[in-house]
Amino acid sequence: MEEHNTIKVLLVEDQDMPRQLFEMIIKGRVNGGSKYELLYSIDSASVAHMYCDRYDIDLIIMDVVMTDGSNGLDAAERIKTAHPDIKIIIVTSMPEVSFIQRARDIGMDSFWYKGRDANEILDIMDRTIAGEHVFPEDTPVVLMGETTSDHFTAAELAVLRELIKGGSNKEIGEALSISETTVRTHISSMLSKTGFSNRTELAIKARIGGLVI
Amino acid sequence: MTFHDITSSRTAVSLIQFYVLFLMISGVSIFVNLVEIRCKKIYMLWCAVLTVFAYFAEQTLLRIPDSEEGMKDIELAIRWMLFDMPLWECILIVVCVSLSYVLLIYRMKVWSREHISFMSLKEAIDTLPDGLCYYDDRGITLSVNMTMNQISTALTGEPLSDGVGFLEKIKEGRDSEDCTFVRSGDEPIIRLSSGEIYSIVYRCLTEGSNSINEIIATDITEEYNAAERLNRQNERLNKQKERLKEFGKNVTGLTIEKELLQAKIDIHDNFGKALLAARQYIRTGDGDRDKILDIWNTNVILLEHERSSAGKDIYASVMKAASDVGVGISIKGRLPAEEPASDIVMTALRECVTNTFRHARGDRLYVDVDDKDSLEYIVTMTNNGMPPVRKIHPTGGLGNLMRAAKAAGADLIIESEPVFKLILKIPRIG
Repeated sequence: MEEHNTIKVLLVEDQDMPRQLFEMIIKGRVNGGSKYELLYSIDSASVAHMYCDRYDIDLIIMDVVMTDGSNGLDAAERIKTAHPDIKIIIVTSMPEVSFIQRARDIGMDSFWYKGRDANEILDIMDRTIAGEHVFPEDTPVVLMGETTSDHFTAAELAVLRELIKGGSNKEIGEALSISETTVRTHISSMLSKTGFSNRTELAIKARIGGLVI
Repeated sequence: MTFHDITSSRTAVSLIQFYVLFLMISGVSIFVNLVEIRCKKIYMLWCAVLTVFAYFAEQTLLRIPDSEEGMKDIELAIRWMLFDMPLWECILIVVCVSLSYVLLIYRMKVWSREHISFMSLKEAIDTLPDGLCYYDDRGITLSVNMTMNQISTALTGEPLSDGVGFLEKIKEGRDSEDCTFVRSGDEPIIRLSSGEIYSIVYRCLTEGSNSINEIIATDITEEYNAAERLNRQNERLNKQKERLKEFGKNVTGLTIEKELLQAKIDIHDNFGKALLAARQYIRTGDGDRDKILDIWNTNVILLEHERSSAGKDIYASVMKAASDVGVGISIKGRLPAEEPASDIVMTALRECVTNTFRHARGDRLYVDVDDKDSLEYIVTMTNNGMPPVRKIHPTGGLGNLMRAAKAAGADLIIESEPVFKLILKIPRIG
């Protein structure tokens, strides 16, 4: 990446308030003076690629879940493929465990969970521009009945992710290439851990808690 | 001492006669049983011999008081042979015959235990939980067990006596007071008023030139009830599944609302901290004045922005995005203002702006909104860029748009020739 006087940032965040806060932080209104220039602030990941084609962008801060249904990780993957020099920081408030793994898999530069100290983002931006990959060590823990989300195995979370779509055990098994019996075992294990009375309650609580999207 | 010596005693002779008579009658009974159970012929023969011997002995004993005049030679020969026989020999013979009978009874019981007789077969068939009926071509029943008779009584009002008539009643499929047809047809299923459920199957069995008709009523009460319970559970699960799918459609909005609420809570908390920090500074001079003012400033700006952003044009962001990249949007008609039409049109606008810029290399998007029909909007989008080089298959963003349109009951048509054209037909609500 060439040396710039300021680092041009594209902010992709669909919620007004968090977007405004990010804008203020990036523009230096919070810390007084900034080496970052907020080029554009948009509310949909579906048009982000267009901005990257049109302008010289150095850094993107990309939210994952958008109101219009577009997915920040999908958009970020396409942008990274077309513009590998652009640094991308994925931000989300959802504790969905697959986000951080996918972010790593598709070559994202950094990852940050919103809801923590908003000024942390400046530190992550500095480190990312410096070439560092900043990923949190653990995902936020979600309370799920009598247990917490960190007590679920990866296989259980995969089944839970399909469960929230309303599929039957057979459909879940087909989607994950596992047997119906295995699906039942995982669901029983999660119900036992959480103390929830049925799979519907499990799915709703997981979805509302943002554990699986 | 010979037998003749005791014939003077009437009591002794009467006792002997009575015992030999008992042996004879027992022999007859045992023989009949042996024949009935179809025991080995050797046992039947032995029993017959003993019984005949007992008969002649009895006849001879009966005529002891009689005079010998007029007796036949054979009768006289038997009489004197008997009278001259030492007593111990007579006793031995009687004991042997008695033991033989005991042995035959024992063999008969062992045989009955180890072999099936016709009666035991009938008993077993009668105790089956399933109904069995066999009849000839004229309808005359050859074998009907108790269960089938119960079914016949429930269906026709009387026990089964005519196989052909019974089969016709089954094929008719007409309910009776005590019997309802759960399923008609080739393999009907009936439910009795007592709760049992039977599956009825008819077959014609042939062997050579002989044929026999068979009706079997299999008791499927447990399986049928289990299947019904399973169906009810599946129905309940399907309803839960649908509710979950419906929930899934709305939960994204709820999650986003939750995120927004959390942001507002954070601002509220920050205000609290700012108040405390300001109070501390005013009272004691402790704290960083600039930092405190910065926090106040940030929170006020955020709240002002929140107030001003309410009531914003829903299409403002996509218009801005188009303008930012140099794509103008020309709109003819009025874009839908109500959901879900506005959501779908906005998504379509974003996709078309992106396609115009990135693929068609155009700088103008044309949008035509036809809202003359009170039932639907027809929105058409084209651009001034290059036409597609090949047929467009809706993947990626267009694929998402197609799914969103379908979910809202709208039609999406994408034309690739001669130019790119996207047509949305969205039902109007209200």
